[in-house]
Formats: sequence, structure tokens, C-alpha cells
Amino acid sequence: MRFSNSLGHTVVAAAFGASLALAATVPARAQSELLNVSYDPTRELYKDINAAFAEDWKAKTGETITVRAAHGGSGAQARTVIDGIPADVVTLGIPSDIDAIARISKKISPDWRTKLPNEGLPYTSTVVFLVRKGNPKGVKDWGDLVKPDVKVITPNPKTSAGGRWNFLAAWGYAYEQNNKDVEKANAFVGQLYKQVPVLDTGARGSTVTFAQRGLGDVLPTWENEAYLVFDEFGRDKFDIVIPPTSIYAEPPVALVDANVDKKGTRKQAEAYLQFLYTDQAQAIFAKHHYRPLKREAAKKEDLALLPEIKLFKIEDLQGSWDDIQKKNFDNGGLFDQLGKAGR
Amino acid sequence: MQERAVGFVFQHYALFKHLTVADNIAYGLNARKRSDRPAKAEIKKRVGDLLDLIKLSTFGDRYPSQLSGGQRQRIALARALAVEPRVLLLDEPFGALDAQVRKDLRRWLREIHDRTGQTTIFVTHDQDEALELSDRVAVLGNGRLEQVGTPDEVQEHPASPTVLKFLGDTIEVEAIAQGGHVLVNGRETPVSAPDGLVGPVKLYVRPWQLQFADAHEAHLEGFVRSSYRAQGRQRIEIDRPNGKLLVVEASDNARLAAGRPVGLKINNGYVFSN
Amino acid sequence: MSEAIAPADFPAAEASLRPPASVVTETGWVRWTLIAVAVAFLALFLVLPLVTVFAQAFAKGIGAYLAAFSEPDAHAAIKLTLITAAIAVPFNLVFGVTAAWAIAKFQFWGRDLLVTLIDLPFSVSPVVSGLIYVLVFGSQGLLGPWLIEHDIQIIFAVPGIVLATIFVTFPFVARQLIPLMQEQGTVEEEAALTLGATGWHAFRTVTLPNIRWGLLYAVLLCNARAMGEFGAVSVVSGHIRGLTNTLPLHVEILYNEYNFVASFAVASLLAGLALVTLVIKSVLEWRYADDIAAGARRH
Repeated sequence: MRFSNSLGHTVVAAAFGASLALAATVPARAQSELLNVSYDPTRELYKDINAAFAEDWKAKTGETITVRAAHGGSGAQARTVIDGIPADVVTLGIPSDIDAIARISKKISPDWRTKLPNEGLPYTSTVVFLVRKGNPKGVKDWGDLVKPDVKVITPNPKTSAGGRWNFLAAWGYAYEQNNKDVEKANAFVGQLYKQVPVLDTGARGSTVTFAQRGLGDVLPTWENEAYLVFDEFGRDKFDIVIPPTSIYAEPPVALVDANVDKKGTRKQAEAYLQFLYTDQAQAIFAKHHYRPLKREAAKKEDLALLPEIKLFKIEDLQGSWDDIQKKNFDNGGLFDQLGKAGR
Repeated sequence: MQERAVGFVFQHYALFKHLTVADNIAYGLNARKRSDRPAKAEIKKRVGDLLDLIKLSTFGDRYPSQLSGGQRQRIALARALAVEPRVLLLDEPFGALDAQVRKDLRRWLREIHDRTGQTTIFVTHDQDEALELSDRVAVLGNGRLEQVGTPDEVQEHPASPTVLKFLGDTIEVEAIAQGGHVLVNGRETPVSAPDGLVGPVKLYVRPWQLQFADAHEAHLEGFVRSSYRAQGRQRIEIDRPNGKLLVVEASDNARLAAGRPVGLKINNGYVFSN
Repeated sequence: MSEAIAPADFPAAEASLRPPASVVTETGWVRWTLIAVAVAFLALFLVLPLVTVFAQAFAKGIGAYLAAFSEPDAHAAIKLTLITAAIAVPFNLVFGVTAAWAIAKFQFWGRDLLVTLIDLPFSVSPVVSGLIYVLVFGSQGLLGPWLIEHDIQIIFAVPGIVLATIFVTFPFVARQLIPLMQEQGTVEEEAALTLGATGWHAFRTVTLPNIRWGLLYAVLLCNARAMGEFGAVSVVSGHIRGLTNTLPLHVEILYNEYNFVASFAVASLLAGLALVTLVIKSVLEWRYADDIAAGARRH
């Protein structure tokens, strides 16, 4: 084997130089590129949205724009934004994750809620139950989740927004049921999590665990995710149970000011977020089983799958999002305490 | 090292195992700067000549792993000679070879040397080798140069006990110099003491300088430990009263039983002050 | 001798020569059981998963299998994996040869420390390795402010992936070569120097050819790990579709989109790589065992 080391050195040096140059050119290239850092279940949604926006933008300005997406557990995604991923917009699963980015990295302005209509919520959602075909364990409402032989699949609230919504929905239900008794509500949630065999990192992971690996009896999940499972895995295997009351789930969107200013993409990013409020986008949300802000823009058959049930807002029950995050999910919060009690 | 132009031959050959014999020999020439390098054809000729010299002319395309130890060492020598060094340094080159091959190579090396006239320094701890091969011998002990001289000189007139001990088996005897003679155990030996030397001295005797003798003539005494045959002679091991072992050679038919007491008389020896 | 001596004349001797029957059958039984256990273990943990990958990949036919690779995201993942390996492997090759050469042939202050550092990536979990890079190069990290100021993106971009891959594959070449070069010693290099070669020439013409098979073996393993690394790359990648997903990451993404056939199809690429690596590795071990591992010499 003839080996020319000086040649090898040159190749390596060139490769390194090339990669550093590549890194340095990323901001320059981003002028016609946006990055949307999103939470787990929205993969299919933003494929459609991004394509529609690119077309719309091209028609309006003539500029070709590519919108890239990155998906993962909402909390984990917030962490990557804090650590420097060059996101232009964030579309996360729960307001406290955006608050965290604003507070820790200062890349998002603290009053981001005021920048867009409906506190940054072009759509909302809720939590429903996915059960096995025929609903063999008879799960009709939240109370049924703590029946002794019922196994619940739900993601880890620390990393998943969906996981947090499930947690808060269960708590909110028990709080209301027991005449606003906090102790009883905590106990209910504690019992629920004792019946969870697997805690995945993201909502998508829990779905795979339930639907593909066949674990558990009920999957409390985002409404949109339940319908997606129907489409992907077949209606003959599952049933969707919409409980009489559930939580008003808020997956907000925001502009990452620091990044767009540095990359020079503010105009495009703001247009992208505005686009989410257009009729075209709202119809796409409904198509993917999200609850659009403008119900009238959606197709009738899509709306039929999103019945108007009784939804409670967790802020009404527990206070501001800072309080909610601290009380339940921060270190030493309710989730940690329940975990300790259960061992 | 390059400038000093010293050619090395190592004890374990250090041939380049991934190169053919011819490439091994040509290595030094090929390693030169382009400006100093001879033409390809010239190198090939040089290699051929050297292969002829070491009598391995047809081995050019073989690999070192296919050769015996003796052949490898010859190639190593050719390789060192190829760059025409001013001095050739052989560091115990035959140490890894068995006794017969060693003898053959010794003879062969002498021939090569005479043919090429190459200045050669040969390092060895084998005194037979040193005495057989060299024009001049340098004896080193404890990092010091003890003596330099022809093989005859160092054998007949060793400058120190170190030289003496290196060049052959010696039996060390406590003796007294008195009146110009050397006495062992009270009895006079034919060995004369150098002028002026009086008092305790060390007498070194070669095995062949001893002779079996009766008690009234013997300088040394002991008991036979064992007796065995080696190269046509009888080797007899004798336990001396001072605990040391003494080995003498005798003719083949001298057979002595173990445990038998013997006496030896000293016919000659070398004297050194204490 | 006028008569042949029949075996019957030595009954006692014959009986003591033949081993007792029970020992033979007992040994055979134990031997076969152990072999069966080993085969079952291999089948369960190696063969079964491999077969499953390919079975699932082709579950919906060749068309669906190939469709998985026509996606632009799949192209991007393949390209990124190849680029990463193309940078990481040569880098570690050069570093590994240099480090092994220094460690094996010289004594210097800090030598043992260097050996320990080289082994570090093996004892650190890959996820932690990735995390280290986030903690150093992230916005909130040690070099964060400096990088932001100079507009350089390391993590959540290709350089971060390459760095993380280099880190976890660091030790492969060095660890393979150090014992080999130590065993080969410095004698041949010394001989080359005495013949007038420069240090560099000796390195090129003596050292490198002596380690060529060990080197190839090491590069093979290094490449397999570089292409297959998941944990460390996952942490620093950011999972930006079409940009920072390597093949292993892409497999996870497809799986999370319920696109199981495509997921296994892409995984089959990696499984294929593993098989090819295994075959070449075995061939090298079989033919060049002495040149690969130190200590196997028969003198």
C-alpha cells in the first residue's frame, strides 16, 4: 500500500477548511432559508404548511424560499434553541417552553404573546384518548384512567409538551371533579402515573409505543395525533374516545428575534408567522386535525372531527404559566414529588 | 549518522520484511536525495555485484521471511556495504545464529573483508570470534578500554585480569610473591614474580597450564565432581576447598570417578597484584 | 519373531489404553451443548435482527424499498453520512498513525497521559460526548459568545456532527496501531537511518508499509463506527430535516413518522455496511492476523 502522507495532510486540511467555510456560510445561505423548530407531532403538518408558504411567498415576492423544519420533544427543542440552533421561528407545544427560551437565552422578547393574534396561537388543540378497537377496558372519561387494570401510555412531562398537557388535563379534571380540592387532584395524578409502564421522550414516541409496539390500553394524546394514528395504522385497530371535558391545549408560535436579526431574515420570518393566520393555513390546520382559530376557514368534513366539547384553561385553575411550570414540572415540583412517593 | 557514513549490521538483521532482498540491499542508495542518487541501472548493477559477493546471486526476488538466519545476515551485510560506508560496524551480528552457522559465517566474513578491504569494527562477547577474526582486538571491561593489540599480544601479554578472563577460561588462585617467585599454598611454582612485587598476589592459570600431580607436588587440591566428554576431550569438574569450581581438560582416556580426590600442579600462569 | 503377538496376549495393557467409555460421551454432550448455546445466542442477537431489518424493508416490495431512497431527505442523509465519514476517518487516520508512532517509538513526558486521553472516548457514553460539544460550542457554552460574534455555527450544523463523530472514533486507529508498532519496535527504522534515510523517508518506506494491514483494519472499524454513530450525533445535530440528519438519525425520523418500511429500508443500508465491514474484517484477520494484532507471532 503506497501511502503519501503529505497528500493525506493536504486533503485533510482542505476538508477541514471546507467544513469551517461551510459553517461560516450558513448565515449567508439562510437568507432564502428559514428554520422552524417545532414540537414532535407536527411533522406532517409543517410539510404541507411550508410548501404552501413557499409557493405563496414566491408568488408575492418572486423569491424562492425554503423552510426547513426540525422536530422533537418540545422541551428538548427549546433547549436546542437556547443552545444556539439558528431557528428563525419556534412553533412549540406549550407556552412555558417559549418562556424558557426568552428567559434563559434572551433570544425571544419576553412579551412575545402580544406580537401575534390570540397570544401566538394560530391553532389550539386538546387531549383525547386513543384506545384499542372496541374499547375493551371501557375508557370513557378521565376517571377511567385510574381503573386498576388500565395501563396508560403518556410521554415524560419533563421533555414533552404533550406529556405536560396530559398531566395538566388529568389534574384539571380531578380538581374540578373534587370541588377544587388540590390534595385530591394531586393524588389522582399520582395514581395515574403509577399506571404508566413507559415514559417516552416525545408525543410521537408514545404513539409508536402504543400503536406499533402494542403496549398499554389507552393513549391520552393530542387530538391531531390520535387521528393521525387512525390514518397511518388503520381504523380497524383503534377507536378514538373524546372525553366530555378536556383541556384547552395551547401550542404557540413565536419569532426568534435575536436569530432573525442576525441572519437578516426578519421579513421572511414575520411573513411566515403571519401566513399561519391566513385562511389557507387555517384550512390546512383543520385538515391535519388541529383546531384552527378561524373555524370558518376550515372545510366542513374536517370540522366534524373536531367537536366543541367543554374545555378548561389551566391558567384559570393554577395561575400564570410561570406558576404552572414551577409548581408542576420544575425540579422538586409536583411531578418529581409524585415520582418519589411512588417508589 | 548519515554524514558519518557508518554502515551498521544488527544482531537481529533488521531487514525490511516488506521488501525483496534486492530492494533491501538497494535501500540506502534509493533513500538518497535525487541529486545524489545513482541511476536505476547503476543501482541494479551494484546490487547484483553485492549479491555475487555474498554468494546469493539468485536470491534477489525473495523475501527475508523465506531465508535462513545465516542468509539474512549476509544480506544485511550486503545492504550495509551498498552505501560504501567509511566504516562498517557489526554489533554481535552472529549472536542469533547457531554454533555451526556462526563458524561458517565467521570464515566468510573474513574472506569478504580481505576481498573488499572495508574497515570493519566487530563487536562480540565471544572470544573465539574476536581472536579468529581480528587484525586488532580491543577489550572493554566495565566501560573502560582495557587493552588494544593483536590477538597474539592480548593472549600472551594481557594487560589486566579483565582481558585475561575475557580471552579464555581462567582459574583464579590466591598466591604469594616472594623472592622473585610465586608460591601457592606454600609451594613454589615455576611462575616468576615481576620485579619488586612482594606479598599477596593473584595468580591466574589457564586450564591447560595445570597438570594432575601427586600430593607431594600438587599446588591445588580438590574432589572430582563430574567428568564429561566434549569435542574429543574429557572435561573434569573439580570442587576446590574454597568452594570454587575448577574445570580442566584432559585427554579422552583420562576418566576419573566422582568423589575421587585429585591434586594439580601449576606449570605456568599470569601474575597480577591484588 | 516366529509368531505374531496377538492382542489377546496383552489384555491388561489393552484395557488400560482404551479410555473409559463414559468420559467420551460426557465430553461430547457438554461440547455440543455449549456450541448450541453459542449458536442460539448469535442467532438471537445477530442473525434475527439482521433478517428482520431486511424482511421489514422489503415487506411492501421492491418498489416501496427503492422509494425510500428517492426522497430528498434520504439523499441529504446519505450525503451527510458520507461527508462525515470522509472527514472523520482520514483525520483519525493521520492522528492515529502519528500518535501511535510517537507513543510506540519514543519516550517522552506525558506519554501515559496521552494514552489515557486517547482511550477517553471509549469510556465516555456517546450521548455525553455529544453533550460536551454542546456545552463548549453552544450559545450558552464556553465558546458560545465568541462563536456568535464571529458568526460561526458549529453545533446544530455539519461541523458539529463531524466533530462529534471524530471524537467517538478517535481511539480506533491509535489503539489498533500502538501495540502493533510497539511490538515491531524501532529496529527497522534505525537500520533505515543508518543507511542514510531521513526520518521522513524512513517513516514512509519502512514504518508505514509495516503497519499497512493493521491500518486497513483500523480504518475499516473506524469507518463503520463513523457511519453508524447515533448518540453523540443525535445530541449535536438539531435534527434539521434535509440538513443535519445522518443516516442513523434519518432512520429514527422515518420510524417516528410511522414510515416503517422506509425506516427499515434505510436501516438496511446501514446493515449492509455492517455486513460488508464484517466480511472484510474477517478476511483481513484470516490472512494477515500477524500483521494486525501484536502478540500473535510464532517464532
